[in-house]
Amino acid sequence: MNPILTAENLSFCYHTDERLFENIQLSIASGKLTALIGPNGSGKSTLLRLLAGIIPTKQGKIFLNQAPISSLHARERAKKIAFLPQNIFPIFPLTVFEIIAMGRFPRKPIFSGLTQKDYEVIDRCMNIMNLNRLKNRLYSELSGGECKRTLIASILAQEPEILLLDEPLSGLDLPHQTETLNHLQKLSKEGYTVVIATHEINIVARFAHEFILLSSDHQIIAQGDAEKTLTIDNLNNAYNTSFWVGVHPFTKGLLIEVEQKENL
Amino acid sequence: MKQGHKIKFFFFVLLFLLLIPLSIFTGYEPISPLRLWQEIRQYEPTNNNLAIEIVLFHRIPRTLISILVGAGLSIGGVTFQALLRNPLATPYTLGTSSFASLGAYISFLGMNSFLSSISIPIPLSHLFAFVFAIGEVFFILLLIKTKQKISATLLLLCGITLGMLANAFISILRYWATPDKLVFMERWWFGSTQVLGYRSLIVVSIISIPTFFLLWSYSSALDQYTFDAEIAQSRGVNITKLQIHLFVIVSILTAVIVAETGPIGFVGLIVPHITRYFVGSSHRRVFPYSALIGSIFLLFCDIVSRKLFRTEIPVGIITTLIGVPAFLYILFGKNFKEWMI
Repeated sequence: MNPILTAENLSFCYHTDERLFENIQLSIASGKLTALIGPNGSGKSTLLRLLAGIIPTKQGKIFLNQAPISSLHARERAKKIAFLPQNIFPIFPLTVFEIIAMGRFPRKPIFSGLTQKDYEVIDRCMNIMNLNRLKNRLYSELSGGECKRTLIASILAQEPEILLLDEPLSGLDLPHQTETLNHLQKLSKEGYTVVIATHEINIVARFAHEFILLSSDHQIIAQGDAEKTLTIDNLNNAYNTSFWVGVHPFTKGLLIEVEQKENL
Repeated sequence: MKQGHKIKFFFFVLLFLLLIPLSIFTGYEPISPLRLWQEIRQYEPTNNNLAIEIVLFHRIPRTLISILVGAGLSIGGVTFQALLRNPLATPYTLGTSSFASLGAYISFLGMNSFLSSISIPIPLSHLFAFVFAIGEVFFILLLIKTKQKISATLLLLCGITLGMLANAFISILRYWATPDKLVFMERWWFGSTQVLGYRSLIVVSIISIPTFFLLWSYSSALDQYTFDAEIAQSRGVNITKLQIHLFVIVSILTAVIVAETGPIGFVGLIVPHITRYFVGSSHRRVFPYSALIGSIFLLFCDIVSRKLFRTEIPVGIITTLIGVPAFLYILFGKNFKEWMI
């Protein structure tokens, strides 16, 4: 494994009277699709924000290729790491094109408009995410899947090396989840490092290369490939529930279910 | 620039250029271009040069002030709407104008008291207006920091309530004021560009012109911020710095305008909406266009204020008279969109 983003002795809490992360070690493999998995409230979103550098760590450091991200200027950091939150509520109407063009922000001087290069990048991002047809549509009029594609195209326009996505699959139906993961997998094959926080264990088990399993008490239970990470013991530990892990009859991948209590 | 934007741009510029001579030649004293031209041709210092005097010392500064104030109020509205992520937030609806008024009122009342002994290079009314305006803005920010989730309604109610408080204090001051001061204060409080001269013009332009370019330079950061605060942060926008800078800049702008002209309502509220309807949401376009449309709106209102009745009435009343139906049309018209509220 060739780590691009690593966290060393990472500690973090929002309020002084609570404990969230304590002394966490973590590394994200370069050019892979990594899934961050864990129960509600395990700190997946917080971990992504820490990795994105938009909230500062309390202790420990996060390194981007050996350089601590806290020492990078915010705009320089944005050229390497892009972040997409779970929900977005723009207050003013924007078209798909405008949203993608906004991704160019860290690479533009204050007063300059879009250059030839910007237009090329935007076109390329629209191509990758199949958005050419929707170019001039308003974001508020798009379907859930189209919104997600637009947002991913927008952070791609930043030309980052690392994409951090918080719940990119939430609110999507199965075909659209598959489509989104296909896109993300394709991006990782093109050399992007993609990290997604998600609850959709079964489907990401098929697509992701690396897994990080967080427990409800904010520990990292395991990191590595599917076979090593998504074991019954690890899952039971992380979720405090009894799991059942088998082989999917069609995909031959993992099939993960919660064990059904009989007298429930 | 796309074809559509070019046409819109020329349309608004044309409207703007038409209103300027109209504003110069409209008023209680009928002055036609011909009369002015004759007076200029036969100019003698000893003659009665009424037309020249009115145009030069009254109508021209008044027209220019209307342009600057209209533009200033509009870009202030644009900034507040973006910063508070709320299309109804303006320095007027959030009570900032009221507090600036209160500050100015206090300085007017104290004009012949100990306050006049303070010697500073800026007018006392501006300083007081600024201190009160910025105090109110930061008080609101302090209040909403205590809440987990900030709703548009909460913010507006907070601003409106504080505005009422300022108005209550203003009422006390009016009650205490001596009749001679009261007349002046009342005149000012209606919001007017009527009796201002070149001194006001200079003060307003020193503040509003640099402010425009300063705010314009924040366009892309504001685009990011109104889209999503976290994405903005991940792209390198320092949110806290952005908020503080812009609140201070707009408070100075609002305070100076209010101190000079009195509170003029509705410009900052409806002009940004009209602008976005024509040119979309990108602040790179919204700032210059709303400055242009804002000055057109205030020039137009100012001309109406001189012609609507036999005697002139303050332009602040006209902007409200026109602004209320216009805003109701935005709210209840068929082009109403969810994002507007």
